Amino acid sequence: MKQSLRAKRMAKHHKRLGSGSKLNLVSLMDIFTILVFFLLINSDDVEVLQNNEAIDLPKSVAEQKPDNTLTIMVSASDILVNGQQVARIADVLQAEETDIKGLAVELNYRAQRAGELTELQQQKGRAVTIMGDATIPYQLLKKIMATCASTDYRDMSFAVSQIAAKTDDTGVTTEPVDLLPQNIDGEG
Amino acid sequence: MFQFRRKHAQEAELDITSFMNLMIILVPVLLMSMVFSHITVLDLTLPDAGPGAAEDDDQPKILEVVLADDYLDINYPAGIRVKRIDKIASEDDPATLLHDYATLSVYLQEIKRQLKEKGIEKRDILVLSQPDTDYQTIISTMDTVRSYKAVVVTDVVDAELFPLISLGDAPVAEADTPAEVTP
Repeated sequence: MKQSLRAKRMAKHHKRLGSGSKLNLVSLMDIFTILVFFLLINSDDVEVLQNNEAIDLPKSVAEQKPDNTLTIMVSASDILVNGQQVARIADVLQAEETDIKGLAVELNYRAQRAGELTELQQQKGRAVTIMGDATIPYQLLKKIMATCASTDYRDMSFAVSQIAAKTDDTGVTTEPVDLLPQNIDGEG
Repeated sequence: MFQFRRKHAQEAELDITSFMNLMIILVPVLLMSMVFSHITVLDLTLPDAGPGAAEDDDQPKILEVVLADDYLDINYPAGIRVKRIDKIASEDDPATLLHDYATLSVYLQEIKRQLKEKGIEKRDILVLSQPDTDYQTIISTMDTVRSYKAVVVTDVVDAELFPLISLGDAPVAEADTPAEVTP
């Protein structure tokens, strides 16, 4: 087709501009690549323990990873074993005895279901993780621990929410001198 | 000929559409699975024969930390007070008093060192609490007695103090315990 000189020039001009106006994705790609690597590195540890909304775990600098064990959750109102309610806090605190009956029944049942103990378990007892709210009193904690111990769940650990450890300058404080009584003679 | 040269002059384009698709899927998936609060555990060592078991003379002496409402006591051997640490004012709010864990750590480090000098390798400790001591206080104390931050050359490392922690009841009658042992 015969075109005028002007039409030709304009077509050429449009072509040139059109090729330059592609979407530039390079910086977006950069961000995504960095983000993907960052997230991949951060998501290497899988969350074993599911935290409950009702429980505000105490804060600690502990770094030990939780094992997949039986979990006793202690919220402000109830005691739950693997998500199933076994006792009410109010009743437990009123009761005189050191054991918690509902919890003991449930733990015994689970111990039966789990079957024979391995050699390591016989030595250390069955493993259990206690997830308690930060505000529960020691009195309650003691009853739970006593119940666990009496049902042979002796390998207890406390679930805590990890916070960054602050590096304290403990060396600066004045050194206490000779704290120990003089009469300590080796391992007596 | 002219057409041929035009083709060469054009920039080569990488087709990154499929890569983009992958990224767009991967980023939200990883973001969702990301854990913002890490849950860790603190191990507990039970006293061998339950709390309040009779201590024989040939048993190793027990190091105790007593958590009271307004002070912390370090006892060694059990029942004999080495040091009482009073509460200190909080840095954020001077009206509230907090347990002085930093000082507790300093004294325990010193006890660990002095025991080592006497040839005693002690790793166990007993944390004694009142019935109404709250869980956070117990955990914080356990943190303190377990280890401390030491600086080795340029690295900050966890130095061991007494990692085998047992829990127990604090003695009720505090008044008639022996007076503070002074050097």
